[in-house]
Amino acid sequence: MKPFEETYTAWLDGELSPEEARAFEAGLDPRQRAEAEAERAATRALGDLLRHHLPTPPLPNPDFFNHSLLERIAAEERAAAPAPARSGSPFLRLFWATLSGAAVAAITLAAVVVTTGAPRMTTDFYAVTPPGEGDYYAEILESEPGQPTISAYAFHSSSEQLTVLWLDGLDYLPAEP
Amino acid sequence: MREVTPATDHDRPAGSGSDDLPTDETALIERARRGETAAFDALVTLHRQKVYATIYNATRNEEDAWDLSQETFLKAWKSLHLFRGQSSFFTWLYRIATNVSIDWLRRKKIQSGTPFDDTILPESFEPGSHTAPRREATPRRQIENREIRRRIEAAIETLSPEHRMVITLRELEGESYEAIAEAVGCSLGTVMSRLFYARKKLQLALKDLYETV
Repeated sequence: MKPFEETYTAWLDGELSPEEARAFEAGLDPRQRAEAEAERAATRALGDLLRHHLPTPPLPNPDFFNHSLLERIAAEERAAAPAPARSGSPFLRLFWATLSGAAVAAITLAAVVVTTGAPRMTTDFYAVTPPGEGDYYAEILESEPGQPTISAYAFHSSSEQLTVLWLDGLDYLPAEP
Repeated sequence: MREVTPATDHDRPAGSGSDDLPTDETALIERARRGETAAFDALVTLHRQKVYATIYNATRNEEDAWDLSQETFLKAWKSLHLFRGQSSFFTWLYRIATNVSIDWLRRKKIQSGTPFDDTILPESFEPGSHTAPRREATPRRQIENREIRRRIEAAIETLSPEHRMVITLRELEGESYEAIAEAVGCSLGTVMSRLFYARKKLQLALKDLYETV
């Protein structure tokens, strides 16, 4: 069952089927019918008033409209296009240099550290061997160049095939190794 | 990423211009979906006036309607891959245009900070007031017509964006309930209900005009 305003609107607009219209009109007493007819006339008058006084102007500058639109599309497509890869990017160079340095240090450390037995001190580092065979955690005591504000640690896990070099106290990342 | 073809006839290489474009809309849509802006250009030419009219009737401002029509087609271009052909291309475009218009009307309402006035009283517009149309000489009539138009636009301005879209689509563009429901994205019942209340408000504000004109 449609709410009254829906059915009434459809009746005003002549959008009801003949059966629906008859059913709707049968439900109105003479006074209501007269009011509904007046309302229908008012609706038509309102529509005429709107159409008469609110004409739609033509699109101004239609050719420029297309041109401007296609320019915008081209600009957006250019903006969305991925930037070409630049091998010489300073950021990338710094990233790879840092990564390379860390890898070299970790490999060197892995080659020096004895990974079994009790914790022990060497002249170069203090290493603690955790329970897993072949694993170690080490603090590097001497580094080149020596900077007392920097602490270096290394962790290696044989089972995970993982080596992490951890530096504390760096104020910045060096630009080149 | 779509390859962008040049934007103007002058820039188009031979063979990619509008000369070899199909006249069939479906073929144009297919080529536009492949990134051919010349085909999209032809689609814009086909529908720009109707889109502009829809938006203009909602905004009542030429510059805003022009800009929003651009936005509508830009969105259509970006969303062409989503057009499945389940409705006509224009119905799909129409829906974008009405959404763009309603969004704009909502933003405008928020920026202006003035709520829509649902309480326009008939006594605010006395039939005998200076704004009421009179049957006088033509020059004066023209001035009065401008005043009538201003009053109608002011009355429409008080409607909510949703009510405004529905009444303009129905009364100014003569759209069916089904087309309006599709464009606005609501049910037929909602269209009828919105029409009912929008008309009530406008009749209340403009009754003296259509009873004397």
